[in-house]
This record gives sequence, structure tokens and C-alpha cells, in this order.
Amino acid sequence: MRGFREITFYLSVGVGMAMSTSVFTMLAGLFGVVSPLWVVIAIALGAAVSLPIAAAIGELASMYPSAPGIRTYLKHGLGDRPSLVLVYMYLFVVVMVAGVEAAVFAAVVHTAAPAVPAVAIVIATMVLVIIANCSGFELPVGVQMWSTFAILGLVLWAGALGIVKGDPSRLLAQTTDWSQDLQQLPAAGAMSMFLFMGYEWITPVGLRPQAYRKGIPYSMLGTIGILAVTFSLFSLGLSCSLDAGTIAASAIPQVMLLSHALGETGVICAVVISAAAILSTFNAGIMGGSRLINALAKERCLPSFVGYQSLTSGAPIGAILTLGGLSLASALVVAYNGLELVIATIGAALICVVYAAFVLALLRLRKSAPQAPRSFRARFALPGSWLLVLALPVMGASALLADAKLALSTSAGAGALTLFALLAADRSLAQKAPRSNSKENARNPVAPAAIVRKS
Amino acid sequence: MTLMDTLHDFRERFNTNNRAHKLVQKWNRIVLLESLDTKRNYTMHIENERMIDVQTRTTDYAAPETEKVVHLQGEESVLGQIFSGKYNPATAVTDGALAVFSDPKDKVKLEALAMVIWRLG
Repeated sequence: MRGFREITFYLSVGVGMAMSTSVFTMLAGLFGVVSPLWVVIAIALGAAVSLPIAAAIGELASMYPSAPGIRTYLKHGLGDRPSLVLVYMYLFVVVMVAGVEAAVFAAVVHTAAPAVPAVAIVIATMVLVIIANCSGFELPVGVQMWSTFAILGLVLWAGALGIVKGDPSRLLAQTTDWSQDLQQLPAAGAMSMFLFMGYEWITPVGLRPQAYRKGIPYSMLGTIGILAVTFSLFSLGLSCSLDAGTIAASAIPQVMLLSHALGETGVICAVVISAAAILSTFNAGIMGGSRLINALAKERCLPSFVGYQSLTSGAPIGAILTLGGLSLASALVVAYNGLELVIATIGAALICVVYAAFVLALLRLRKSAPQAPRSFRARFALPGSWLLVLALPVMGASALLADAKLALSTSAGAGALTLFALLAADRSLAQKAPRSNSKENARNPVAPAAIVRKS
Repeated sequence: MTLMDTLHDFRERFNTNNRAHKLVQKWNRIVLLESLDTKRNYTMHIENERMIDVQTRTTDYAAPETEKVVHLQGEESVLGQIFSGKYNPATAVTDGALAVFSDPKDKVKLEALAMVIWRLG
């Protein structure tokens, strides 16, 4: 795979990971925080902040090509313990988002087929995903690429349909209190970063060394651009067709928009979009997440059963069962309690901290290893990047407090998960500390600690 | 022991391990090893569940377009430790000491091979 097809593959990985069912819930959440026109401004702000982060990740990827990004970059840039804390934080976000995905998908299907209980759909979806991944099944690359771009086309079409069939004057008519919107912009910007989450999954899938010079970094930037345009158009379609209050009250605005424009057919279209989105995200996400967990198990950060792999297909079964089981539990909690937006907001806040850590890791590596080879160099000003490191956690915190009704739940949830991440990191460090005279060490000698790619 | 000796030894282990054969059914690949410090390249050709040859290659070696390649990149000492079972390839990738360029499924297959041949879990 070379040239245009290779770049298209990278774009499909990034867009496929980000274009999940839960992004529509987050879009609805944005309508509850700022007025319709400002939703588009918040998306633009989220994209503008994501671009330098993607460039920083691109440079890190060129230093450690094919590595499981978050663990490797942060370990080299910030040290073992901070890296583990942030990896666990990131994995908690993956588990929570997978839960939201399944719950939102169930809500969409339940709208089309009210006789089927949502909980049954949640369980069936997750069990199917776990079985498919354990058997080593992965969508063929061509199918993955086409399905991703088909979803993109459908979402763009839905947005355009909303504008054409709706009333564009609603957009300004519903934007009344600009000063309030301006105050809420940092929170809305942080929430909108959830919409782009997943572009960083492009970094481990490089098909050849040269891809890390331009192909992978620019694909991440391209992914953010494509998503910004798509979500902006979709938001405009929503704004022109529905009241902001109605949108904000729903976890599945895509169903509302399409049923408003097309009636019963629209509901079917929404189910198709959601099914394709969940297929694409779970296919790449559960597999990608399970490989990260598998890598942690191989480092002895997690119990050995988590690292169990099939000796016929190679599938990381222990990691898939761990991730899939936790995601199923998360999905049931979300579905029973209607926590879609709470969980998505916590995810957005935590991911802001993780992204800040990526930029900080790069800044530290530029200082500690200035001569280390980099086939791609992010071009941003030093004061700007430090500002990003400081601003991102603040934006994340403001997202937690953006909706007064949810502030307590989101803040408590984010605090609890941060504490769990700290405890899990400590446990991992204790577990992987060398044990003298153990059988395992004799059979599996500890790798040289200081090996770093020099050229 | 040179890397070439290590690779020949690995070939013997691979070709006499039934579980490895089961794992590489219908998995015909050229495994290209690129040593970043010595600038030497090596290939291992897996075909019909056997490793049919191990060769030294020139630095500008390019596999035929028709072949599926798994490209491993690292320092020669790292490659030597990986193929002598002293360094788990999954850990080497996480450490940033080894880079693997291939289809994601092939990476999983390599990790499973290390488990089968060296019992690295």
C-alpha cells in the first residue's frame, strides 16, 4: 500500500476512531452550554487546539515509530510513574467511551425498534464485539476504509439536509447572550476536543518507516480538519432544524435531525449511521486498546492472565476480555442511569490532561535529547506550547463545571478516576519491580533498561 | 555470536516447533531486519510454515512488490537479543527500542511467535 491509498488508510484510522456514536451526544451537550452559533465556534476552537497537539504527537511518533504512543512517549518524556498514571487515565477514558458508545447505539436502535429492550441491545453489542475480537476477526482494510468514508458522507449529507430543509434564520435568532457564550467558550472548546479524540491512534499503524516523515503527522492534521468541517456542518444542520433546548435534552440528536427531515426513513438512516460508526470505532478501538493493555501486561504492569494470547490467531484474548468486560459494565451503568453526557464530559476533561502531557513530554525530550533523530519536527513557538500545556488542564476543568446540573457528578467522577489511575500506577510499579530468584526472571530476563533508538 | 548466527539458530528453533508452524499457517512473509547502527539488513523468508532462508541484504534492499513484508528496525544488539529470546519484542516496541512496520495483524503474530518459541509471556 503506497501513495494516495496509504494516506487514505491513515485518514480512515483517525476518522474511524473519532467518528463514534457518542460524538453526537457530545454535540448535543455543547448545545446545552453555548448557543448554536457558538457551538460551531467551539468546534473551531477544539480543532485549533488539537492541531498543535497532533503536530507534537507527530514529532514524538517520528522519534519512536510504531510504538504504543501514550506509554512510550510519556515514559521517555516524563518518566515511568507519570506515564503509567496517564496511561491508566487514558484507558479509563477508553472504557467509559466504549460504554457510552454501546449505550447510545442501544438508544438509537431502541428508537427504531421499541420492542427490543435497550439493555438487551447493549449486552448483545458488547458480546458480539468481544467474540469477534477474541476470534481474531478484524475488518479487511478496504472495508474499514470504505465504511469510514461512507459514515463521513452520511453525516455531511445529514447536516446539509438539516440546513436545506430547516430555517437558517434560527441560527442567529437563538444566539442572544454573547457575553455568556464567550465565558463558556473554554469549557465548550474542551468538550469539543472529545469530538476529535482518536486521531492519535494513527501513530502505531505506520506501514513503513518513511510514513513517519510526513504521511502520519499530516494525516493526523488532515483528520482534525475533516472532522471539524463535518461536525460544523452537522451542527449547523441541527441548529437550522431544531431548537437548542430540544437538541441539548437528547443523547441522540442524529435521530432527531434525520427524523425531522425524512420522517420514518430518517430514523432508519440514523440507525445505519450509528451502526457503521460503532462498527468502525469498536473494530479499531477495542483492538487498539487491547493491544495497549497487552503491552502493559507484557511489561508485568498488569496480572499475567491479562497478557494471555491465542497461540493460533495471536489475538490478545486476556486483554480483549478485560477491556470488553469493563466496557460492558460501563455500558450497563451508563444505560441504566442515563449518564451518557456525564461520562463523555469526564472523558473530554481527562483527555485534555493527557494531551497536555504529550506536549510536555515533547518539550522535555527536546531539551533532554535534542540530537535524537526526528524525521518530523512540529513547528510551533515555545511560549505557545507552554501555554498549551497550562491551558489544556484548565480547559478540561472548566468542561467539568460547564453545566451546573452535572458539575458535581462530573467533578467527582473525574476526581475518582484520577485517584484510581494513581493507585493503579503504584500497584503496577510494585508488581513489575524485579523479584530476585524468581523462576520467571530466570526464564524471561529483564530487558536492558537503557536501550534507546540512537539512529 | 553475530546476528547472522543468532538468526540461523532462530531458524532451527522455528522449523522444529510445531506450535510455531500452526501459528504461521497461510502466513507467508518476508521478515526484513534493519540494523540502524551497523546499517546492515537481513531477511528471513517464511513460506508454507517453514523459514526457508536467512540472508544478508544490501542497505537499499527492497522486497518484491508481490511479497508481504514485516519490517523490523532497531540496533543490531537489540535485534540479536530479540531473536535469541532475551528481549520480548512487545516490550522492545513499548520501550521504543524496536520499530515494526507492517499490517497490525502481523505485529500480533510476531508477539505470539515469541511466546511460542521462547515462552515469553
